[in-house]
Amino acid sequence: MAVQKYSKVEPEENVRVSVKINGRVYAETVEARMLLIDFIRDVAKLKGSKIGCDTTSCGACTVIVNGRSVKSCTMFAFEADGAEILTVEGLSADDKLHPLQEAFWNNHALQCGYCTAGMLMSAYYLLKKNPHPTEEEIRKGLAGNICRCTGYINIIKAVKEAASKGASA
Amino acid sequence: MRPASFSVFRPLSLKEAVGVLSENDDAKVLAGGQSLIPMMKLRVFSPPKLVSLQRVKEIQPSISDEGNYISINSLTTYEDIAHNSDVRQKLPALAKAAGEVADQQIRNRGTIGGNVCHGDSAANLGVTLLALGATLVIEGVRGERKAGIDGFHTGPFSVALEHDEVVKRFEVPYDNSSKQTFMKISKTATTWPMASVAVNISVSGSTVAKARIALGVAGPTVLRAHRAEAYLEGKSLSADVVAKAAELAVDGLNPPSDIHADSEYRAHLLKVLTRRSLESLGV
Repeated sequence: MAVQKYSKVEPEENVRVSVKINGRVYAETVEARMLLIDFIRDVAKLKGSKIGCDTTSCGACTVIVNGRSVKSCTMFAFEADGAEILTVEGLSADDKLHPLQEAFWNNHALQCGYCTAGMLMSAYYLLKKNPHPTEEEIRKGLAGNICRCTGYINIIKAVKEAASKGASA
Repeated sequence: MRPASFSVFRPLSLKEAVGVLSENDDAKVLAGGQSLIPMMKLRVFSPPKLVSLQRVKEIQPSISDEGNYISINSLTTYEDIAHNSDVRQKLPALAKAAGEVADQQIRNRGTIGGNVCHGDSAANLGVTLLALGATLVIEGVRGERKAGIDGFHTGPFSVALEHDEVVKRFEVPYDNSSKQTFMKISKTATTWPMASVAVNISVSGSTVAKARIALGVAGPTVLRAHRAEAYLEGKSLSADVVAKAAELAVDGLNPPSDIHADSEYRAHLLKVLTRRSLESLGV
């Protein structure tokens, strides 16, 4: 049986990627292998999101893509083409910290700060889905984010405080 | 760590996807990427070509109740499955297994198709779909075929899928007499399970009419505990029966040893999880 030729799908080594990050459009032709975190940091020049473990474990690179938290080190930039992305830089508005950021500050929920952007984005996603989580739900929601300084207690306190102040709104 | 260079095909239909695969022996399928991308970054694997399924219209995330089975398209994410009301009500083991895959971010991206086709013996959904007796609907250049999940896992990271085939959807049967659960033990959310078990029994009166028990990280592939299943049929789940079934589930088993658990400890955990799973069904 003759197999039909499907030549209209061509391989691309370089891909045009256009994404809206924190309300602004960034478009660039990049290598297919470029990771989303590298697009965010090196193309859009938004350095808030961090690369920690680089092996899908630590969550420092967590951003919101089309309403869902993802590890941007484990997604190709071309997969985000056409997406709306929120990074930590997009949390605050009019020079005013987001209630989650305020709560992290109030509760000493960071020391070195390297995990903080990812923690904030995971906490943001959690409160969007579940505005009043139990402590157990907060722990489960942040299970994909590793902090090597504070030991999590203050981070959990901060998320609780932010939730009690209606941070999901 | 960055993956080696590759070129990507971005087909819009299954026909295009399987066509591209049939013409490119060196192409690898990319679904949610939560296993493939880390492997490519570590250069464990450097495919020169990827076929991204992201835009393939027939397999976009979708879950539907078809009367006696739930149909789940292959790009449906763990998060979609864990929170779907039909799945939670009719396939509680699958909802639990999906909700316990790794962490929130991975559940938001990883797909049922990727989980099963990756062929990892630790995969939550591979174990659970084996216990639930799912059917895979597969598209290839020669058309569509259906395959039962029994025999789909052929070896470590190997499944019975031709190079030019893509799993389209899963049909997961349910009925009112079924009681089922999934349990796993792992050190942290993102570490590989030390052991996992999915149990699915049909109950007739106070006895077990039919049992399917699947074990994860128990051997080279996800495995069924056939002897324990046969032993349970026609019996009530007394403490003694449950204990005996758990013994039979791991009798002769030789689970792998790794950094998370050695073989003997893993066999013990599989026995404990089988017992707890059966106890939790409350028959």
